[in-house]
Amino acid sequence: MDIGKRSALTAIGLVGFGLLAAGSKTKSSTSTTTTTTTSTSVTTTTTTASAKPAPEDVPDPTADYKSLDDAKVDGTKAFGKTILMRAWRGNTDATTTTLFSCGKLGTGGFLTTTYSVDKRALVKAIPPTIPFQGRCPRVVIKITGKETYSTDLKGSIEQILDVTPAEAEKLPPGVDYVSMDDINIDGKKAAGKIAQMKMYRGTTEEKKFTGYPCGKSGGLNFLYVTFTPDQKDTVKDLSQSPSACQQVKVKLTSQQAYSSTWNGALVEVVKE
Amino acid sequence: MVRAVKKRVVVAFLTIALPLVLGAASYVVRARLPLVLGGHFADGAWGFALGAFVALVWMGEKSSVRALWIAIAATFAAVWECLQYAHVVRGVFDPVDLVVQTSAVLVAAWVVGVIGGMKRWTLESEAR
Repeated sequence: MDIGKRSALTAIGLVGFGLLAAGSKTKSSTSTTTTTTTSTSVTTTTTTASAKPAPEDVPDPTADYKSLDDAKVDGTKAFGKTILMRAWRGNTDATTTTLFSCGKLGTGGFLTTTYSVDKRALVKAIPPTIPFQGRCPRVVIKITGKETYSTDLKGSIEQILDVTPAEAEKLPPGVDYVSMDDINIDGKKAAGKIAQMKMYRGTTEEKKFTGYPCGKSGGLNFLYVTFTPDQKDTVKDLSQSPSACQQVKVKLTSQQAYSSTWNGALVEVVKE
Repeated sequence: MVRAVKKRVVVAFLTIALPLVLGAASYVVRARLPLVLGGHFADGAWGFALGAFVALVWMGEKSSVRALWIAIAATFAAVWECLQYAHVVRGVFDPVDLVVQTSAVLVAAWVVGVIGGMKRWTLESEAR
């Protein structure tokens, strides 16, 4: 190949790599075209659910801080003030969720937040991982203090933008839960109820195995499933690969006190 | 000759396609990655693929010409990150990204250079 051809190929390549980088930034940090809903708000301007503009058209609500770092460096002065951040959620239960700032090292961080019951559907709609497509939703949080044993801040959710409230899952007859996320959110109330989820089998012992649900969840995404001797063959047939998840019906028995891990009893592997 | 072409395709796959695939995959599993990996792996993989591409295209040329193009690729990677700072392209400027992706270009060029130094890998050596 002569120098001219190599130069042309390199130029094309550079353009391609540029487009690729631009594409990846679009996927990792821009908005999708979902409609926008805002919750009832203590902050000012953006209660515009009816107009349903594109997310980027809804202006940022008024807030005292736009990054966790800014709030942290203000120390106790930040308490009582509001922070606007783009967030995804980690551990989530009926009243609290850990929000992670969608930013890079130095601008990231997390804080534990409380939320009211009326915001549960909106909290559920916050992605439980950094979204591959679209951009993290905006959340306004009132800083209420600092964690006891760390320098991390804690707060309460005031407003969630850029997401539509999560709809209730459709449940098959006799089933109370079809996602680990809902089980985590309901906490101990889920004990004694039936969950049916696509999952695969992890570590297996004589009387129990670790089940890994194949859906996304804010927080823990596994549970320990006990089985009886006559269910051994059923367990052995259960897939051990996340690429071949199977519908498993489990009766939730108890939630461990400190780890919040769920225990359940195998009911059946549902034939599809 | 055919064997050399096949080997070059393999090298291109390993040093260009694979890093790009892994970089893209890192977005999917970002939440499960340590923060350092989650934030910078994709940028490093992109820089590596870019450096490998340029180094492969210019493999067999005079080292001064190769070095010039690799320098252009590294500058391209650095400028791309700086354009984020200037809000000319989308994304968040991060000095660590600047270092990671520029270094990745140079590392990839070095890796491909080492591979290219093994005569059996080059088209020219087989053609002789």
